[in-house]
Amino acid sequence: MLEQKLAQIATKYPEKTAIVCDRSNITYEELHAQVTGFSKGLSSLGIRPSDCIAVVLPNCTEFVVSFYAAAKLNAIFLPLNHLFKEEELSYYINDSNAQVIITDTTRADLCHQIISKSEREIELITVNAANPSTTYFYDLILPEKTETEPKDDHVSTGENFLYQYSSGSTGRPKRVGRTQDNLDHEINNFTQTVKVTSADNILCLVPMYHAHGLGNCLLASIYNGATLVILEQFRQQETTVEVPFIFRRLRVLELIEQEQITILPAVPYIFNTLAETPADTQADLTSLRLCFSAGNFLAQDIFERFRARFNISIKQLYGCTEAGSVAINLDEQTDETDGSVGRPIQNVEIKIIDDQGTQLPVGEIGEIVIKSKTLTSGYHNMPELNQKAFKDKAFLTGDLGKIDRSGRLYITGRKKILIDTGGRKVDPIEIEDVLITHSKIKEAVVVGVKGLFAGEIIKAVIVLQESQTCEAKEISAYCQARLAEFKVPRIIEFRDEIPKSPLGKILRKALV
Amino acid sequence: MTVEELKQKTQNVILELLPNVERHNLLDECDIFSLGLDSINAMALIFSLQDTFDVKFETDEISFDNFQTVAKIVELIEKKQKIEQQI
Repeated sequence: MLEQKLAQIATKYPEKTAIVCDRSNITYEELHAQVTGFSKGLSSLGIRPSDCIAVVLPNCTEFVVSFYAAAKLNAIFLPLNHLFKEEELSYYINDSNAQVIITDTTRADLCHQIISKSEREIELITVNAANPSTTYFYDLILPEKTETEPKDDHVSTGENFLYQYSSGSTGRPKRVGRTQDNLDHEINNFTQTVKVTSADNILCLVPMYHAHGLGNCLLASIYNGATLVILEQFRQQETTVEVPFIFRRLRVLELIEQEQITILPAVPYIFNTLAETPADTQADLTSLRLCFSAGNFLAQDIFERFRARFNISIKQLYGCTEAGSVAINLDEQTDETDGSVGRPIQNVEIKIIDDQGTQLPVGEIGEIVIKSKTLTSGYHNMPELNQKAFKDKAFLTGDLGKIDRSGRLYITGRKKILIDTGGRKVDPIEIEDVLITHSKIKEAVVVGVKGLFAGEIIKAVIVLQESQTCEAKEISAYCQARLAEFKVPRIIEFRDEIPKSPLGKILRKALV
Repeated sequence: MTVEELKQKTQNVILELLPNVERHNLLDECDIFSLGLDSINAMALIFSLQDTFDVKFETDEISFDNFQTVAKIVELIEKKQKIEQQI
């Protein structure tokens, strides 16, 4: 279904630029040819419908090709954060039963280690260079007439196509499976609401392994014949380096102007960094018709500074891994409603319920419930949680909010505690689970401390086992070996005890 | 301000953002981003350096190369201070 849509777009706009990445362009005709060829290559490796293809890549053209090739094969696409460490990647690869890992040479050794410890046979494909122990991505783009041609006339749209993981209340990530049908509805709804057309150029600054980047950048572009412009990885002496966004600001401003970007989906931290662009820096953003922020609440201060600097009002979007985009505030005059995430996206129903499940009237705060054909059927292998979170084909988000008389949704709080480290959400419980495995640690609580410029800094408060001594650097090193860099606590504080309420509940606010 | 003072003040700014790093580990050529300086505190670093040394970095000066090590930051600030003295 998704690949068929790409084929239609390629027929309609063969010469149009589909993707711009790293100063090179690829047309829709070329993109479709690569997808067809690569699906044949995957097929030649023995990949069949329902097999899982893991992709451990930063944003790049090969990510998009892999996505559509998996769709064509009716396989399962598992996009993973390229910054994950061995233990994290290993969990996802094993949990999803992945048969193939597509990565780059930077991460090839890490993936080799994971494969060597696995009991299953897993193919390793690298995208940027041939390597004796891996298969080169472009060698797998087979010519049109190949015997291994996959049959694409029985594409089942009701089986899981996409696996993504959502932070869990126990620290164990929950596997969210969504079908091609779910994604087709998501992108249809989004397109109708935001009116994306083939004339749009969408700049992708957020990771495509995340629901925001996948739905609002990749799918929004390719489904509509628009151009997807990807911010390439930063290179230093021929190797790619992960650098803070502030150092990419100039390149982003250049891309917006050069590529005449019309839609900019991002997160509050990115908008904040752009808003801080010195007044004497030339920046022409007049091509932008829509900037929207998702992932976390957009602070009034960022909204106002961005508008003062560029004369553009950032819109807020609300979404989740389980359903994709849910609501967006497209009001022209946002002065009175800029705290709202807007009205539901087309064909999405939202209501607010109390603890008994009764729908609440306008203006009252309760749990946000979503009903949509974009919704996952539930978390894998978590029947108890599914019973609580999915009722009557609706999803109880765990977020708190209210709806005003005009149907606009306001987010007022979240039941789940997540730390926002500049766009990347971190589940404190996942870090606590790692800390507690350290032999010297008796108790550990992780909290987010407000940073100076949006986002939060991760702080770990630690109680040591009796008569143990330990230094912060030992804890840091322990975390660094087990967690992606963005999850490692930056502040480590040792205490004699963790403050708790008389009922034993941890008083997290007292630790910030 | 001597180069040594400049270096020490730069180190102070970095160490304030990275409380778990000890001064003796913050070598001149050490990549400060590998010590844990991430997106959130990279921005704080730039603003804090501007305040401390009373300089203003141009957008094109705010590059990874210029802020990767103590030595490179010192080099940049020294250059900026010289230019401002000439003006």
